[in-house]
Amino acid sequence: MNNTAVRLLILIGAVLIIGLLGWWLFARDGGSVDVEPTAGAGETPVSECPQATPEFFTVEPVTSPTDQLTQAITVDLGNGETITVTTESGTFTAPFDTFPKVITIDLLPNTTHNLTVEGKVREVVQGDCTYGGYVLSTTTDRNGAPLVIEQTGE
Amino acid sequence: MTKKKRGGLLDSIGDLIEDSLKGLAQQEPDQPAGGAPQPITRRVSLIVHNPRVPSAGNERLNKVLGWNDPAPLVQGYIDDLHECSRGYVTYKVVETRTVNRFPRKADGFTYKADDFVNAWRTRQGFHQPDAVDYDALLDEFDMIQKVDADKVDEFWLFAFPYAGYYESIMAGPGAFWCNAPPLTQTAHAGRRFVIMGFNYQRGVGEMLENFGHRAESIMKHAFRNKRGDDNLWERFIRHEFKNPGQAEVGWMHYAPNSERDYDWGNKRKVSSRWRTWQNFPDLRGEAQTVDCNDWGNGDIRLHHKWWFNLLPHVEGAADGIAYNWWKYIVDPNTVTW
Repeated sequence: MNNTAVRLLILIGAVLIIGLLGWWLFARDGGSVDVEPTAGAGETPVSECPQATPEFFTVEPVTSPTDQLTQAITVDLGNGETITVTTESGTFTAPFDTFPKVITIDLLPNTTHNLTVEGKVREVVQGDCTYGGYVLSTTTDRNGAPLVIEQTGE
Repeated sequence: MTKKKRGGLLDSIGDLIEDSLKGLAQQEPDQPAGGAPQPITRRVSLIVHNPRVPSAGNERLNKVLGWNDPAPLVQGYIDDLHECSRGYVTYKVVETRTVNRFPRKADGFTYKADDFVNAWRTRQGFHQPDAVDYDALLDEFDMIQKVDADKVDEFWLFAFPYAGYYESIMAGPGAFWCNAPPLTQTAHAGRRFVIMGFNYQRGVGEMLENFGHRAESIMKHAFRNKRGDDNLWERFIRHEFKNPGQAEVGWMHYAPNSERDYDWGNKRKVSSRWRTWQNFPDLRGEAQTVDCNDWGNGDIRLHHKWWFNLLPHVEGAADGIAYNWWKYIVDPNTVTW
């Protein structure tokens, strides 16, 4: 057998071994070895973004009962864009431009007001990842008490 | 700090073979479901960045801005994880370092206390890029040395908003995505370890969420070679919004009936098989109609505790994966390479 034939056989053998190795590494369990992204030091994988906890969102306790026809609602929100209070007397929306935001709502006489407070979180793009852009909603204050205002007449 | 990487195709093939053989050797032998696994204790180094603020009588930052005391947060988190794992994991803080300065950012920037307080009060002027310098933290707190000396199993960083920490990040040989890109420059460490990043402005619920995202990353990796019905993790996290009619438990951001991220208080009724996970590995059982009453009506901490309670937690293994998923989440060294 001449040198060329030996080399050819070695080459065929090497291809077979690599093929078998590839099958063993990549095709077992019917899929790829690893679906996770790989990253070098300092690199951010483009296929995965860190999951974030929701921004903080708190509403201070309300005053109830009250004989007033308005009430100031104090709301704080991380990276806030707008605040909306929805209740029996209407919907009140304001930009989140002070920290915390105080938003004044009207109250109907002799009416129980059940408040739903929503905070729109500003959308932020960091590299390939987008955060925020969602709305947080609550019907309770920072202590877990329901946001209910009883208007008892003037 | 950075380990020099070998180059060349042969070396890469060699690394692949080495990792695969390690993986095969680490696989769990099949065994029937049993009782509670042997409890473990994990040693924690707690590092609290809580600088004093000169313009506020040298009070600590958390006091000046009305934020939480880290100590009860840590205890609440430890207690919740102990309870939800049925006593499997006990985290023990073996050292606490309270640091009187701000951590250095990746670009070298460091806040001055008064500047930070002003930025917080006006919600502007926060430094960008926000990311912290992990190399500096690794060095300053001798993290790799403490892990290699078998004194510490993981690190918990505690700081203020905009500290630049990842909620969790993994270091050590073969470190993988843990809700953050792995610290590949730590591959020379003796074993893998996780660095958590907490925020004392927030509560225990948010700390549990950090742990939950860690759990999601690690379990996704543990099941990375499983497809279809064999991938129990993919089944566990199904929810109505993504898998209509096939909801199971969901994941951190999505309860079975959630329609958007963090929507844990949704009263919409959907069909879910979450209760079957209480009998794991026997997942037979019909779906039932559920709503947020089952997981705390929107309370972040209650939802997350409910979710952790459903993570498989018994002895036994099948298909090379343990029935006790806590084992992987708590100690990433147990995840196959």
